[in-house]
Amino acid sequence: MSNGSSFDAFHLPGFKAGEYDEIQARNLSIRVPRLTTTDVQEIAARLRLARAHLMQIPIGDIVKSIDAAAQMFASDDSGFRQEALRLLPAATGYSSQMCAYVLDHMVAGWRSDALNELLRSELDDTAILDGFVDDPRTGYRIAARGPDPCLHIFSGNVPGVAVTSLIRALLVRGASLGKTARGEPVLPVLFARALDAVAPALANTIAVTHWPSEQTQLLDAAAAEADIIVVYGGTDAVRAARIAAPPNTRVVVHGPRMSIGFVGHAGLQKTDDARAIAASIALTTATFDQQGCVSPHAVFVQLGASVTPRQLAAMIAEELEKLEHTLPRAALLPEEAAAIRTAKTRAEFASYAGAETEVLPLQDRPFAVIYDARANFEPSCLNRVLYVKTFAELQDIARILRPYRASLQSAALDGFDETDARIAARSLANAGITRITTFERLPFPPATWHHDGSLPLRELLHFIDWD
Amino acid sequence: MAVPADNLRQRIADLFSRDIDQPIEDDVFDALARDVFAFQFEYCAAYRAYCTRRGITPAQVTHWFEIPAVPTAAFKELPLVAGDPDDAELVFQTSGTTAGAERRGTHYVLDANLYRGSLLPTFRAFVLPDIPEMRMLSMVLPATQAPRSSLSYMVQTVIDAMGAPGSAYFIDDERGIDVPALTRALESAIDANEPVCILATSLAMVHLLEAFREERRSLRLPRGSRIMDTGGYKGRTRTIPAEELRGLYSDMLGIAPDHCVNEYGMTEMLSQFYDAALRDRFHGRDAGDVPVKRGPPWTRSRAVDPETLEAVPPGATGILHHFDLANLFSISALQTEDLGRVHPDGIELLGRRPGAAPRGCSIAMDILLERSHE
Repeated sequence: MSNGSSFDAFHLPGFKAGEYDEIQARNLSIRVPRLTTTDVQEIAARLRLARAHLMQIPIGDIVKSIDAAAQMFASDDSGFRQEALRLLPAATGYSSQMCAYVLDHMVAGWRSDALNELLRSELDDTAILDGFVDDPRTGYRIAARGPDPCLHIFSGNVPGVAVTSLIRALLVRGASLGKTARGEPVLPVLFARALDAVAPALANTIAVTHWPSEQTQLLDAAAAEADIIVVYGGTDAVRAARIAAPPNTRVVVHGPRMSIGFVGHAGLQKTDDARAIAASIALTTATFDQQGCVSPHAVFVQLGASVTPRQLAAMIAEELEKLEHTLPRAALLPEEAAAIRTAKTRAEFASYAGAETEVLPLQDRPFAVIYDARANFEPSCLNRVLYVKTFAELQDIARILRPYRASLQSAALDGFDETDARIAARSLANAGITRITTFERLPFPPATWHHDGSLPLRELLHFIDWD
Repeated sequence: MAVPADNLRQRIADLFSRDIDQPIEDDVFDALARDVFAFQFEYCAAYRAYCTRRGITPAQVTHWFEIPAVPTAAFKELPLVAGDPDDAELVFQTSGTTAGAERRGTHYVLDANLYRGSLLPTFRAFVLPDIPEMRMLSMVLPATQAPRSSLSYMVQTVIDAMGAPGSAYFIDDERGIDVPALTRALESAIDANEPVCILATSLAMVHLLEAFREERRSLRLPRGSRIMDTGGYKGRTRTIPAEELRGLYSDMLGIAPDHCVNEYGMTEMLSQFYDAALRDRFHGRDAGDVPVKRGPPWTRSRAVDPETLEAVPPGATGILHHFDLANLFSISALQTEDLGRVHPDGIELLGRRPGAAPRGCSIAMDILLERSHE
């Protein structure tokens, strides 16, 4: 698995590094400059200079350049795509099929049509990014300024999310300093290089590198230079970012979240319908091995239809088995495998205690569906371990989900008629869910989504009023 | 029919009273382990179901390696006891969340003598190998305030048996750690030049060190003073690696690294493991290449591959299985969630990693674990 030479996991335009460190990122050895706090200040100063040039470039041209860079990750004969697909499996542990599958879906969100739609959905008129415009809603003049720079703290769970974050900043003419996660030090660097090949002026507004999280002085220095911080990650990463942020600096948090699914009895009357639903649940569970905040931890299945929740659980397990051939699961770290063992055993012992729980299939496979009819809910240990729960009435769900209100993200619905879907949507919105979708769309939200309930472009903007 | 409980209890108690450095012969351990398994198989229905489902009965087991290990998480689901849980002399629970979303593991201890019989000689061997008693200063809650904590019970048992006059608790359920009183006790020990033994969780030690840092205080405790700390912790701000914590103990309390004895134990297991460095030093044995923890001879450990549950080669990383004869009335073969390596002279613990390691913005047990400390 290991690559002979190491990957230069940084894009720091104009910066001359002194020493380098070799860091092991799973099966990939990466090389990054050993930075000091002064280096971070210099990098930020260079970004500000580069951003001044960005102000001359029309937003439409920025979109075209991003699209051209994205194209290099879409076509099979592109060296950038080939390199991404060579490095990502080693760095992330994901199977090569998974890396290609995820990259294809992520790239779609980086193309012109998606970006233009995003701009339209959040900013009526991009002229606001060029200077003061008359605002009919307030009656005075308003301008908007992108971050100078934005500090992005990336996570490693879903390849491509880091690139989306860089693109969002570019769209509002923001400069970016990105700290990659050790779990995915590849794509943001390759994207910056691809951009450099088509539009160096844009690529110069992006600095990306990795440093170990223990070097908190570097995070402090970067946070002091940033006027907006966007952080993706678990509680430790989010907390570190909040601590590092100066009091007046906006911190946009995409912290640990989870998604869930619901299947209503309208979809469980015919075996074929249920089978199709099971297939889409299996695919969304397998996608990035359930590591995304958009990945389902549990699917709640309505009682009283001809296909029972237990039968649907078995169907999902069968569909997950098929996916082992086309979209195999990552090789697990020992602690991940241990967590799966724990989850399965707990379900087994719960059944000895009289609970209606069952692990499907019986034998060990690289996935598990845990059918658990108890009226509670716990997050999954992930890596294709899906809980199938039951429910009678939608109102019951809101109560079960209440302790997790701050951690919920998307909910996928299937098998509801329009009236029930409306009731479900309203109830889920009150429970803390910020996106309602289908199982097919669950892992890959549209570019225009209200990411964690907010407007991702507007969150990067400072508005200037002239009243 | 399984061997009667009294017979097993006696054979295990005989082991407790032997010199702890005297290894138990493989065949003696194996015979007793298999008898214990047969007893637990007969009297614990859930364990029997678990083994039967894997096609394993006592008659088929030819070596204790083959005895099915129960993941400690199973203690969260039902009473795992070879007997009647209502007969328990002690009931211990793992620390849990107040939200109630995560259940607590419960260990019903039918015979408290088995717990005391195991913990006392082990503590003496690894924490007080050189001195019959010492003044013990505890930052672990007294058992009266934490009746379901196995750690509190252990600390109280140790203080009752080996605590010199002046031993006391410096923590209260409501007010937390009493840093001023503890500071006074430490200073008076310095004045009297009498060594002390601090008993604490690693989290409590971090609190103490933070308070000392704010006060710009550092102490040189009398020679021979030591710390027994235990448990992982998750700091509110930034976590401190174990080696760094050792350095702080040395800098701020004047306690040498080999006098910091980290305990590794779990609610579900009546025997404990300790850093072997202090004991080895006292007995003039060289420390090995890696710091190891060692349990009493009535426990045995091995590392297995978490996916296949096959034993890994000696010295390779796996999840740890322990077999604890002291667990006669619950389950002796335990599968932990701890990663480690098994060396000839002890186990190398690579960290307790409950739940999955969340790789980013997905949530696993991350949030739940946070709550347990709030």
